[in-house]
Amino acid sequence: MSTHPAPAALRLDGASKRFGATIAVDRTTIAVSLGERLALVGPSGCGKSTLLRLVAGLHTVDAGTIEIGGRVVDDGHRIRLAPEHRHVGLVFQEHALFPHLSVADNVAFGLRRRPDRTRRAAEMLELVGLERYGERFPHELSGGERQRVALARALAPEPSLLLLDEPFASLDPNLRTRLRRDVLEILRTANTAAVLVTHDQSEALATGERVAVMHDGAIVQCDDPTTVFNAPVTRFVAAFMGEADFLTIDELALIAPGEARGGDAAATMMVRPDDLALVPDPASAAVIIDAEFRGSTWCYTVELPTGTHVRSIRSHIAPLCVGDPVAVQLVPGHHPVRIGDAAQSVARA
Amino acid sequence: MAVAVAVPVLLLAVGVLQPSTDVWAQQWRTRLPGQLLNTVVLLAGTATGAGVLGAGLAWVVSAYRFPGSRLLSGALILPLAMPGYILGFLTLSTFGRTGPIQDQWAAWFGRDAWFPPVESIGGAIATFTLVLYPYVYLLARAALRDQAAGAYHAARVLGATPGEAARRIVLPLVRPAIAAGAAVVMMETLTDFATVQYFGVDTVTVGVFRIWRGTYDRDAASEFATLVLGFALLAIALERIARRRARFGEAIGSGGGIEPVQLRGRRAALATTLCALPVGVAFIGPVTRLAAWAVQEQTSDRGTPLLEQYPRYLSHSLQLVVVTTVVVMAVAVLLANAMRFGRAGVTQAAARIAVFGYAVPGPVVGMGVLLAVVGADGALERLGGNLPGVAGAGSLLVLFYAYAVRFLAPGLGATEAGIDAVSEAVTASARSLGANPLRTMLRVHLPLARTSLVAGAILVGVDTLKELPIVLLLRPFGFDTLPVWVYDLAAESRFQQAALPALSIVAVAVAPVLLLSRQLERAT
Repeated sequence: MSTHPAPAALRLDGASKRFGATIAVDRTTIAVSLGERLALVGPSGCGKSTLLRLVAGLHTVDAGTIEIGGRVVDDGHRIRLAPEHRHVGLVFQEHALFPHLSVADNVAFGLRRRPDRTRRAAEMLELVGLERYGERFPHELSGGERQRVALARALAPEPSLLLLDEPFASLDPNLRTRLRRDVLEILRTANTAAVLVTHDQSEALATGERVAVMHDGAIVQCDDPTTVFNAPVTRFVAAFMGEADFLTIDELALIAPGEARGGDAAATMMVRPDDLALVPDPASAAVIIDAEFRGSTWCYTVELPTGTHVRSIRSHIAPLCVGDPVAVQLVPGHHPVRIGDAAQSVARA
Repeated sequence: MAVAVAVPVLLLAVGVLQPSTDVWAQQWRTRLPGQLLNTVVLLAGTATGAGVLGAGLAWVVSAYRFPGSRLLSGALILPLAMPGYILGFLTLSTFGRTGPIQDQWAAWFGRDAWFPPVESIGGAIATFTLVLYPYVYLLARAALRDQAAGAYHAARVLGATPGEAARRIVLPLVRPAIAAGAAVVMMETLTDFATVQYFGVDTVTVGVFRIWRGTYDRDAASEFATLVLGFALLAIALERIARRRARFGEAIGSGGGIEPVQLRGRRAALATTLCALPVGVAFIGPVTRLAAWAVQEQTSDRGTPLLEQYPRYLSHSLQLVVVTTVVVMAVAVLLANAMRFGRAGVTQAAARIAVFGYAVPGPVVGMGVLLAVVGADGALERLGGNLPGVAGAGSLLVLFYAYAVRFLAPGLGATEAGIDAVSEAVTASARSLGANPLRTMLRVHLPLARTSLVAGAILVGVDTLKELPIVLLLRPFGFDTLPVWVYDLAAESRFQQAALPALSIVAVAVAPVLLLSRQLERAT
């Protein structure tokens, strides 16, 4: 994990939180620089939402510190800044608009002390493209419109940091993609640092300038999206961020002798389904055991002579059949990735 | 705040550690054994009666369609609006020795013909059963709808007849709900010492009242009250066990309820009669009788003095209702908000103890509050101060305090439900937009929980208006409320005169019952 020089929009240093016997967040250290977008991704229950709530001040840390905009807001014992004093924006999956207030009043809620609150609220609605909706009430809006209002409301007080908790999860897939693009544009315009929590790896890859992968309360890897996808540091990251199969060096030698040469005998190698090509070969001991039609492609599962399963995505023309013997080959230009599970766990301990 | 509520009950429990042996010895020689027996018989009889009646009716309205079934399924909770001490004197005046039924009976079969004794523990059990069965009915109906329907249908598909499925599958699944309802019934029965006195039944709760009103021996009365508390704890324990067992039922929940079977002909008529009977006997009949009496009384010569007294009783009742409702709702709002803002486990624990006030019978709360106030007064005196007029056991302050302790639970329940319905994310949004807890409460929580707050205030107000045991025990001299008036008149067998105040109480008490039934209809 890289360390950033001050000032950072957000800095967590060894932050931990446990609920009873469960460790929700385990000694997490991470920094988000000003204007940066970090996607925090992990399976449900990995602690990503707890981490967000710690930053917002809805929970307090048991150990470690949280710094927002260079100011310590929670150090686990003496300093525990209440949520209303942290100056962070929050956007939730369920939007959490105040149902009894109009759209304009919702957006102006956090601007109470500002003399220009009406004008500022109107500006924010314009930013999210809802300038004509000020008089409406939340129940009169569609899901996507509500999410924009929630965003406008969170951004109105000009927070130094915006936290988004699964902001698109409640929207249907088409709307989700469109709104995601809009939100990224708005965030870029506002130049606000943001932490976006999601369980959807493609959303994380599409939205984060950096992607932090969380597992069992700890951040396992934090890198730019392509690195996280192409060079995962653990099996978990590899499998969570996309379809992945794992081979030993000996198994890899059967497919791509060149790639396996000189490799550490104990290493685990990851191949993604698009790395592998299949060629019908009656002499091969590898057999197709499953074929799944995915529209523009077929995904075949092949059992290698060693019993290991690998997947291969092929175009939909000339389909193969279950039971066909095939030769598995590496697609030219693709390379298996060495997964350093053992090395990683030593480094963490 | 929650401490102020919990202290009275705890004081009582501590007090029993230094018993006044002579009082106990004397009680043990005289009334106590009979009182214990009566209490056990009364509780067991009422719980059984209300359990069978409530569960049976719940099954009939859930499993069958018959003429009037929709209307009756709602109307069956109406007896909740009829306080026991009102149905009690109506039962006596109708079926009692001087009532019209026994007169007719004697005219037909002669003076010496046997008639079931009404002024008996049986009469009391019947009365309590009729006004309290709705608690079991409500819980059993909900359990049938939420938990048992899936299992019932599965049993039918596997070849069980409706009767078999009901007996072997539904009954075991609904039994926890019935037990929980029966526990509430027992608590309510235990609280009463007015109705039982009409019927000449001497219970331990009556014992507390007797000792207190007879001797003003605070210590002895409060120790006796712990005996009542013991019975209450038994009922709570029963309820807790029932709730724990209820958990296995939840997994089966498929919602939707049992598809009712349309009844025709004689069986339909039987079902309609069966369901109409409790409503008629415990609500419509009594209300009609009260109304007739009230009209008669007003048109008779004695009518005028009664009407002149009415405003005085009403104003006392209203004072109690307004003060109790305002205090309870204010405390409830603060507690419920404190819980939302997660002020550690202390608040939650305190709130749970506060709710205990509702489970503890009124007379026990009354004695506990008395001890607490006297203790505080003593401590103040030692410090050189004085709480004006508090030591006088009948001060209004003590009365208000006791009412607040007793009725915090329904107020808090409704408020909590209202605030729980506000999503945590809404609270979090308000906080991170810069609103402190107070502003979040005023601008966000309260407007959103408005309906629940109104419902809670209505519940508390009506419960306060109906309440009799605490006011009988603790009222300052001359502070008579409508229920006290009813009780006094009924105790002197001046039933006709009691009709007007009794009718006023029932009329007001119908409001929350209708509210409740509307909520239930919406839920189904």
